[in-house]
Amino acid sequence: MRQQRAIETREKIFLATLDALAEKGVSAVTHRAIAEKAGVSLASTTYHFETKTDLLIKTFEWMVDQFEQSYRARLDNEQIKRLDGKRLINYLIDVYHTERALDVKGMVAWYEFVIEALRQPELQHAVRKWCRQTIDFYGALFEQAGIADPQVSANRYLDFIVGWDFFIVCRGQKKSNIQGYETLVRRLFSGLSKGGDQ
Amino acid sequence: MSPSKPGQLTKNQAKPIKAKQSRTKQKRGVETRNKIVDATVRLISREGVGAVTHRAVAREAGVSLSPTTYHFESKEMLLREAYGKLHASEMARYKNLVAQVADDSFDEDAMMDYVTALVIREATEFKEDVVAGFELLLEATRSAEFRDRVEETYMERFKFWRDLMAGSGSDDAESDGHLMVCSSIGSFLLMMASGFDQAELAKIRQKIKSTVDSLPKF
Repeated sequence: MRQQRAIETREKIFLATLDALAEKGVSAVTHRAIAEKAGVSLASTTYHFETKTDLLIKTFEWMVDQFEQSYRARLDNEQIKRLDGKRLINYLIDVYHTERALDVKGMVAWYEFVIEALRQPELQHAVRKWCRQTIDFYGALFEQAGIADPQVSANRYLDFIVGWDFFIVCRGQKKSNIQGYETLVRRLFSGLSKGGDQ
Repeated sequence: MSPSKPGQLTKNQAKPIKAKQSRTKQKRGVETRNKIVDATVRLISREGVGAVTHRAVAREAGVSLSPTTYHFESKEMLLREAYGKLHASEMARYKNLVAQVADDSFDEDAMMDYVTALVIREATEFKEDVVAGFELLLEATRSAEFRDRVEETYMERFKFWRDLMAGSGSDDAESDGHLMVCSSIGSFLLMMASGFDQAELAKIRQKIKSTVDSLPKF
């Protein structure tokens, strides 16, 4: 019972931190402000997260874990087995449209954290870990789909979407510009898998 | 005609000194203004846009509150000026590169060297500017008036890359331009956010070259 409450409290804190990051940035993240936002006691925020850095890192890890879960949920094992270049691209576009383009708050919070990592070296290992995990995730799919050099290709794809999403988020676009995204992803992939057409 | 009292000036003597004072005052005014803008950039870089208040900027600049509010009525003005300064500095840094690309005598290898050196300098020497720049762009998510800046920034980079790709013989320089703007910003941001060491810096040229090469040009 206690454990369950602890989990719920942690999740309230994560959600509040995510909100604060998206609304005002890292400077708005203090134990006090988060406690108020989350509707929990100050004591419990400091109990769960000793320092602000700890709070930021754990929130980031929780957030990206949520992202990954939702991405995985969109592909069952059968679909993974049948992946080819064409289906892969459709999946990537679908996931963009349904997960990233509409989750503006999550995206802003993500960039706030990543930009903070430019200043605070203690956050950098969390970013590195995310990069590795994400490249592995995409790399496995790319390999299944027959893309050449799956890890390198996944890295290249990641670079592209991090940049693309950044400008979409900054522009505050309500529509996801699916057309533009699709065109560019197809072009990117036609360069990635040389030989073996989709 | 000698002055009636020591220290008292005749009418003619008074004028030029008054003008000199005004020029010095003006110069000081501009210096103070610049100090404030520079301080704003430093503050944004170190603590984010949220930390920008007139008081904090005044403290950082080592000036009092009143010139800060005198020169910049609102926080938005401070941010806008800071962005303007960053933008101008960045353009100056990229000027040579842009000129080379515009020039028809195009050597891809030399271009790669140039871009690589640029990226390395941005990541090290100009890190403060870079961080502040990212912060200010992201601020556009909260403040609609910044969105023009985002558009401007994107278009400038896009034109640069599009022309570079066209010069490299791309069959769709527009798309490749978009791909390169996004990929270059994305990889740069991730590199800096992950922390990088000398070994990784050494691999940058290779990475840029292989990214450009992987674009389906022909």
